[in-house]
Amino acid sequence: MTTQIMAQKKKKILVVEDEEPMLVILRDSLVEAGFAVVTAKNGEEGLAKAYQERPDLVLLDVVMPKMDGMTMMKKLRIDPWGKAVPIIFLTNLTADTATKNEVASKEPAQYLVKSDYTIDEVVNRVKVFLKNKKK
Amino acid sequence: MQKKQINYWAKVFLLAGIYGVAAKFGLSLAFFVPQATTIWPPTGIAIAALLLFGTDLIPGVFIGAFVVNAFTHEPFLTAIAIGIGNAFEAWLCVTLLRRFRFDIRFGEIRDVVAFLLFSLLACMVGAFIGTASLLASGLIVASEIGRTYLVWGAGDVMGALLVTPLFLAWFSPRARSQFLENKAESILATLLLCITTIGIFFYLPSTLSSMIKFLIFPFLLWGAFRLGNTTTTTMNLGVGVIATIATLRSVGPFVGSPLIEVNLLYSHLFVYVASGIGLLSAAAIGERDIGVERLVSTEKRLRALVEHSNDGVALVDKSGNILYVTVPTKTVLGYGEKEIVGRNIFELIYITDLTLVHNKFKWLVAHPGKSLTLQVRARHRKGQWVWIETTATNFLDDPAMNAVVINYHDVTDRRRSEEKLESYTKELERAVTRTAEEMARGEALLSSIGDGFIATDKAGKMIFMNPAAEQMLDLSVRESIGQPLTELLHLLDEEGNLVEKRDRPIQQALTEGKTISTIVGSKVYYYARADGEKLPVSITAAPVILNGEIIGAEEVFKDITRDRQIDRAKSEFVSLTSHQLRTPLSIVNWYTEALLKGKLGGFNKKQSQYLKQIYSANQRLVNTVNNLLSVSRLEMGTFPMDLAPIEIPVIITGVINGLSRQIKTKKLNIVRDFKMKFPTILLDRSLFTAIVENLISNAVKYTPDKGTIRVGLMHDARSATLVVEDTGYGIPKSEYSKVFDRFYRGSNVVEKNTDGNGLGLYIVKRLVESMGGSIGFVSEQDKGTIFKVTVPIATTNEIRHLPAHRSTTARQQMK
Repeated sequence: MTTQIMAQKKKKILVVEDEEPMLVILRDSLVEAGFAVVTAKNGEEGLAKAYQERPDLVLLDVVMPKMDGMTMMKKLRIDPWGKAVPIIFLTNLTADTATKNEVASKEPAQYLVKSDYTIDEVVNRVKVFLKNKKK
Repeated sequence: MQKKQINYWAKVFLLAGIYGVAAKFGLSLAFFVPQATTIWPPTGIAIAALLLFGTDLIPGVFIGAFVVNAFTHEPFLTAIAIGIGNAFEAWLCVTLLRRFRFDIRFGEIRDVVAFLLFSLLACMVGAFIGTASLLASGLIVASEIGRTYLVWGAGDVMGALLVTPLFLAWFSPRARSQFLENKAESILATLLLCITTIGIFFYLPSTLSSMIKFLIFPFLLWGAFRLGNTTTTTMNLGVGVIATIATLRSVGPFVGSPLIEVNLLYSHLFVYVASGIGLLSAAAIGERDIGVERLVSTEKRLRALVEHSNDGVALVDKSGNILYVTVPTKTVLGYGEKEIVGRNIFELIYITDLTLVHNKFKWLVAHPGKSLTLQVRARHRKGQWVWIETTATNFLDDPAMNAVVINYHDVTDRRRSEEKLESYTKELERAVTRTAEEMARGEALLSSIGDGFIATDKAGKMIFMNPAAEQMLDLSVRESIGQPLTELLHLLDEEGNLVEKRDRPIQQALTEGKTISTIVGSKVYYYARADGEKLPVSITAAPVILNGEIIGAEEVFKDITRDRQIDRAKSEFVSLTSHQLRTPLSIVNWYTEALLKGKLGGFNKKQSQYLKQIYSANQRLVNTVNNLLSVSRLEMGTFPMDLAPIEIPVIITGVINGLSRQIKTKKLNIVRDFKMKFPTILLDRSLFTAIVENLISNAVKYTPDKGTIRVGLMHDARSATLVVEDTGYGIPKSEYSKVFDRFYRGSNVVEKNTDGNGLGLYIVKRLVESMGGSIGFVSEQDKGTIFKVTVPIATTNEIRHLPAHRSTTARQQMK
């Protein structure tokens, strides 16, 4: 693994995903890209970890047991810190208009369909999102 | 009251006065007993007065008689008795006459006979009372009773006979007018009679006068036959007075007895008979005259009726020959009397009706007294045929008629009207039946359809609801009719908020006259039922317009609970499927990518190759799954369109870049025939991207190495056109029609390239068309293909009208 010494602290990413293999590859790729990664297996765990760890960005799956991604986002956005944290939805559900609108109304957020993107593209998106947010 | 009373007593005293004067005159003729006279005019006056002016004037008679008798040396009581007697006599006569329904006009024989009888009777009674009073008061002795009675009676009878008819005659307008018509003659006749009578009674010796006394009769009869009651009664009086005076003076025919009262009696008898004959004759003539008058006036009236009516009357004999017609015949048939009498009715009947008329006539002639009615056509003198309704009666045996009487009138107009009426009625009945059928059908339709139907009037008040609506809304028409619909039934939006009246479809239909539907768009509305449940509905409301005016509105609504369930089920299926299919695919993708990156250790060439194949195959699978999902969503209609202003050049560039590896590998030449400056168009980004991707990737796939692909983009005011041209394998002509079919793959490329599921163009076409655009192609095998896609433009201007949140989404997506 390449260790990059950055002027700033490492960015922390929270990955919420119920599929184990998915979770592993995402974590590994992000770590490789120089991020700190915390994980959660469902929305409930995700919410707890989010408050606990205060990540710089959340990669959020939608279809999960116990609490799905949308619900978690809604709950998160109530929290004053949670309101501002960037979220990228990673899912295999084709977004319908209602969902897209919901996502749009709860900025900052994006919606990616996993099978449309390569893993590198996903990592890139994270980077870009964080960079823009800084601006 | 006062005036009436004064009136009454005035009349009473007037009568009394006249009575008194007449009495005095009569008494002056008293020869036997001062109180009994030969002619007592007062009786006549009394009877006349009571007949003409009423029996309530009796007190006048009493007073008159009493006063007179009181002054003729009689005891008070006697006078009273006699007064009562006279009054009673008059009353009795009048009452009897009244009972008999005596006519004071004294014009009929029955009246004369009644008068003669009842006056005789009353006078006998009166004389009895008078005689009795005189006897009782000692003014006469028993031996004188007979004579007194006779004289008294005779006097009263004569008085009645000669005086009463005279008054009655002069009071009768008819008799008076008769006199006036023959004034000269009446006076002449009366004079001649008097002269003759005087001559006979005074100037002839008694024996001669006795024989010639009947000479007065011609004059009496002359008066009776020609000159009426006035003259007759005057003549009677004249004869009576002359005869009495003559006899009293012992001259004339009645002088046979030494006793003067006997002579008087004979004289009175003669006068009585003569007068009686005169009165009876006059009455007989009078009756005849009255009868004739009546006949004449009846005849006149009948004539007038007959001549002015629209009905004609014809008399025909038993062979049908016309004997007589009335005036209206001219109007109805155009024939004057002279022209038609003598002709036969059968000549005038329409040929078709002739047989019927013949038979009916024959029957009628055989049945006297019977009548029948027919409608026949008869020929007018001018030649046209008129419909007449005839009623014929058999009076052949009636001696007065001796004919068949036919009443007829023109019914041509009536028949025509009847025919018209009949045809109108039939038409009307047909129309009514048709309308009723349509209405029944309409009602049956409305009752049976599963959708709810509500109609309102101009003011929005509910006037009709079909059974389906009642059931769906848990309302009863009977209870709710007439109420404003927007108050009766509440509409809620997705969030459960009440939709305001002005936003409700039915209200918009009423006020704007447009048809409004809630089906379009993804908004869901609910009707709030009375029981609290919410019914998801799709509503279509339309105005009801009559003669250009909005007279009400109707709405049809559908319970979409099941539809929504189905939609939800579809969406769930699609999303579930997509998720379940894609998850393993993306896992394989990413792991393979990670391995190929090399950061987890290197692979030898062969291992790399194999990994790449795995990756490539997986990609194909991803594409196939995507396509299948698209197709199924297209099929199910769950393809939401998220319109946003997109920049097509950017999308095209992105797609080309995405295919860069294949392009490089195949050494293809890409020509970008468009400018980056291109108007933004309102489209669904992902869908349009899919279209572009499909077309360009097809071009890349199906063009051999070193080929050229040109991507062009043009626009005009209304649409934008994308062109993808390649120098590829082309499409065989025989397969042109199948190009856009599902799973179609050109036969010429199948062998060369097994990759491809044949769904791409199908999806593209569906997508393009759902955007309101069109797609076409030109191709030549082994030369190349050109695909052209046209989509309608919504330019930047229109974008400004979008609601705020959409613009935000666009900005969001462009980040």
